[in-house]
Amino acid sequence: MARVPACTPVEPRLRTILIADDEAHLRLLVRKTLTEDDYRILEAADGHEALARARKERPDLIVLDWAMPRLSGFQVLEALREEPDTAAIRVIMLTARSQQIDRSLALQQGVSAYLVKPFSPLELIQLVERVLEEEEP
Amino acid sequence: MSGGSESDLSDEPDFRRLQLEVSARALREVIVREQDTSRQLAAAQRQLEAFVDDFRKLLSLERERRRELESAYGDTLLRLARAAEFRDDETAAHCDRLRHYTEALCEALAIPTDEARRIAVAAPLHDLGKIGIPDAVLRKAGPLDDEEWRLMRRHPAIGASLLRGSNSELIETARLVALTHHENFDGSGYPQRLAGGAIPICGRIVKLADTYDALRSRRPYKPAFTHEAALRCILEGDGRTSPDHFDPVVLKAFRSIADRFARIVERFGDDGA
Repeated sequence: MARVPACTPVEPRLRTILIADDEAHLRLLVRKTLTEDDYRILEAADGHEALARARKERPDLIVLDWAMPRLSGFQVLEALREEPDTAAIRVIMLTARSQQIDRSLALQQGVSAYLVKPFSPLELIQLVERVLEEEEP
Repeated sequence: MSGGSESDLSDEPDFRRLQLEVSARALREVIVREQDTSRQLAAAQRQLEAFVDDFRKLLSLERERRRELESAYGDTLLRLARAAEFRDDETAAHCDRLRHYTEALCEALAIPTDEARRIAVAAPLHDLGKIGIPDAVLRKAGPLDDEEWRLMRRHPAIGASLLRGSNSELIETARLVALTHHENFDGSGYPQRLAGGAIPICGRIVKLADTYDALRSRRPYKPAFTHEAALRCILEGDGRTSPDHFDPVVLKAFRSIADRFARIVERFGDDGA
């Protein structure tokens, strides 16, 4: 009888999400909303740290605040897009800036989604799931 | 001297102005800081409200899902009951009447709403086990002989085995109803000859509802009884049924709402028609 090759169970890879926001309570909210059962979660408290962790850890997704000290979220986004290694990292902008012009600027830089604070946790969860399901660009 | 005092006089306002400016700047900084804090607090408050909104949304979605699931279960069970009754030449109206009698009895007995609903939905499944009884027995026009009765009396156990092992409370209630609706309160029933409180309340309730409906329905061996005749049969007994077969508490509830039973028959028709 033909032997069925043993199947090694495939561990689903935990996706890494970097939360970049200068407000600690917001990072906590996003972390709790996305839950560490479902994702490996990293944090950055300013733009510099965000860029450094993005380069080093290559997260699958960055939840990025706009207004941050040292380097703004938008500058982080521009820097990411300029470097081949980080250009493809998916970004969800999570910001209090609700103007259409800001949204357009971010979308031009290839963000996957733009969510305005105060954000709906349900919407964030759905966006993150949707963005991570999309094929690698 | 005079020059010095002149200069003192002219310096004084400058110094005061400077002092005022410094104080004003410090005050402005405090105000800006306070404004920042209150802006952050307001933002945090709005964010909290967004979380509460989503929480409520999820909760009502969850409740809706549960209702949908429960009614889907109920719907499936009703169809299963109809399938069983179909073979027994009973009608869908019989299922509807049983559900309504049971509802009325549960209400009179002050049974908690959730449990009452489960018993009412489960009631029409009491004869599910008749699926496993041969046609020759089930559809026989004349009286059954001993062997035929032995077969017929297997239907509670068959029904219970069909409904066994579910983790749905609804189906578990249906299993108990199927198993115990022919038990008598005085222990003279079947299949387990249970007595009194050993018979689950759902079985005691459905037994009365089913007995009433059988009396009101035309059978090959008997005409359909009027409400008054059926009432008398149950409360006083006849050759086949005795008041001792029923839980006195259920019987008392039945007596208090018997006119509702009559209206249910009027509304949902009788099988003889």
